[in-house]
Amino acid sequence: MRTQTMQPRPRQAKDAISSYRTGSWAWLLHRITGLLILAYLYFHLIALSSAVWLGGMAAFNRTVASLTTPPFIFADLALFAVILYHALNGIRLMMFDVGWFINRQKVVFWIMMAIGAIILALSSAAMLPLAFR
Amino acid sequence: MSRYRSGLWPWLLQRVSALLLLFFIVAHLWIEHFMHLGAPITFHSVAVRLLHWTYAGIDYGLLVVVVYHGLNGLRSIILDAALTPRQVRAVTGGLWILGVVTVIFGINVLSPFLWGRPWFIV
Ligand code: HEM
Repeated sequence: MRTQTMQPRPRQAKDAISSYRTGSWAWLLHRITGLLILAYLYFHLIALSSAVWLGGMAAFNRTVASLTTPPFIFADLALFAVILYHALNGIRLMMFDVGWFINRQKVVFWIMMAIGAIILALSSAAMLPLAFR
Repeated sequence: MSRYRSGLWPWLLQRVSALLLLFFIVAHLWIEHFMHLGAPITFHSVAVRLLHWTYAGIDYGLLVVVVYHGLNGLRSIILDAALTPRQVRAVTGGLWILGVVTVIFGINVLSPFLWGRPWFIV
């Protein structure tokens, strides 16, 4: 006979949904950015390979030339911001996993975002001149 | 929470791959992009750079680690839904196949530059 006390509650679809109600925007954004970067990985591999596989060296050069025009330089910076968020928030999550700053989660979040803003500003300063030359 | 559903090893390896990714992504972006910022990118310039093992090494390392981390992350998201053990096994198996295919595909993205042919075996 099964005992009720030791039985874990069966998983239900609403468990997944209820976790969105924790108000954890940082977590939700971590998930969305992770999926965005995964989607970008496939775009990256397919865009780079299809040109050279289907059209050879000249086609590769044409593809790269069009990928380094201003709209794509802005897109690169946006992608960089997405990766920065995921990486810095990921570091923050792993610090909590090993017990660091457990009681300072919000402060650490904003410190990480400040670091991210500085890195993004510096890389924009390096990259944007390429869009306007 | 998702981390406890995915299993101890996937949970741990997600952290290990995250730390490796920090290294590989910083190396990939810094050494391969920012150090040559503004220099024109052509088939020829990429092929010449790839002659140095650091470039191919960083790219292949990044490929394997990012595919594991990304698909393992996707698995823990999928496992937030109510799945039977059988469905969980199907998801895990399906993602492993997708991952292996992606890595083989990704290795061959560099093949034309390294060997002058689209696939490194043929
Ligand atoms: C740059 C370094 C990165 C770090 C430090 C990092 C860190 C992390 C950590 C610690 C987690 C686990 C979160 C949790 O279980 O609560 C995670 C989840 C995830 N990561 Fe990353 N990551 C990085 C890069 C990437 C990249 C490049 C991708 C895409 C290919 C990616 C996709 C994902 C996905 C899809 C998840 C699952 C999200 C979820 O369960 O809600 N990550 N990351």
